[in-house]
Amino acid sequence: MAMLDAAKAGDRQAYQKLYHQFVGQVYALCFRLTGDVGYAEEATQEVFIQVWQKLDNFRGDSKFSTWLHSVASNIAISYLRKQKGWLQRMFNIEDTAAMDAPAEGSAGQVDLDKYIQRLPERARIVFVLHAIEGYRHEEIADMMNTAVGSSKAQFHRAKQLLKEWMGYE
Amino acid sequence: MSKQDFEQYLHEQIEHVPDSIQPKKDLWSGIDIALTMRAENAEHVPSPTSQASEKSNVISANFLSSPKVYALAASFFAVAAISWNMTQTPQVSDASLLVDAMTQQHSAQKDALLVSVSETQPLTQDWQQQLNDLEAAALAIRTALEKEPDNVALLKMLQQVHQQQIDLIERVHSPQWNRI
Repeated sequence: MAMLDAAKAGDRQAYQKLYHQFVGQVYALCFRLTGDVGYAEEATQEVFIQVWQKLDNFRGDSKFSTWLHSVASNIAISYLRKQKGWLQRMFNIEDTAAMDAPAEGSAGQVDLDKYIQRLPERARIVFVLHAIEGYRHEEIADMMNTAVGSSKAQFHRAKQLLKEWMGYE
Repeated sequence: MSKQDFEQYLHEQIEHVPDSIQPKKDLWSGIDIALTMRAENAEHVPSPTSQASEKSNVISANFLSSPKVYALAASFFAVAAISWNMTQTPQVSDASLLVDAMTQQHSAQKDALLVSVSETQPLTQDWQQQLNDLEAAALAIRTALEKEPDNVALLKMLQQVHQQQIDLIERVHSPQWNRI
């Protein structure tokens, strides 16, 4: 991949082309993990700033998009932790996301992203990583620095909330 | 409806989730500026921590005990207030006024600091060039903010560059033992 090689060699224009090729995927991931447009925009920028410095770490053992996705997940979680940590310290906010069902949508035709956005933070991250991104609970536990059982419990919690909101209970 | 129905339904919904969502803003300009700033910092700033990492905003123990922490906290609140204000009333003129206020506040703080260290021998000779480089970066960010006044990431970058200028002035005028 010539564009990737050029970017690794320090070609900023080549990196900009890579950005345009992958920004949609990275932003989608960041948006689902953070549940907030502003955080998602900043996390996406943070991902591409850090990836520029990590490009040499990509050895070509996997597809670039797979590697980017994995790096982006870790950076986005780390970013979110820093942001939330600061906010929580400053304002003593607990992990109690607005847990009302989205106003729009019905069980017949839903925008799943709107439901995901409303999930509590930890449940949302685990749901996105496991159900959408396909990570195993062991991997998620590593990424979130938590126990495997905790990841499974959060996933169960997320599904229960979605089930309720989608009118299955 | 049964649990199995829900599992099936959820699975179908997950299958239809889009792989890609385009951000509404152009995020590249902020990334480009950040990469340029980091490259310049890596080349110029004479910091003992620079070899270990490019985290130019490492907060030292001295910093935590200095009045700077209050200035930084004030800046954070200023950025938060700006962000909040712009989400509530996204008016270009208001945002521009706030950028101007940030710039004026920084200029006053920088000028006062420069006066206070004017009789101290600097540790490097090219620090004013580095300060000029940072000022050029701040100018580039302000120019970008004129086009995107509600870009919070750019506002944070401006605040960061301002802080880097203060850090630079303090670092090159601090005693050697104080930099360890």
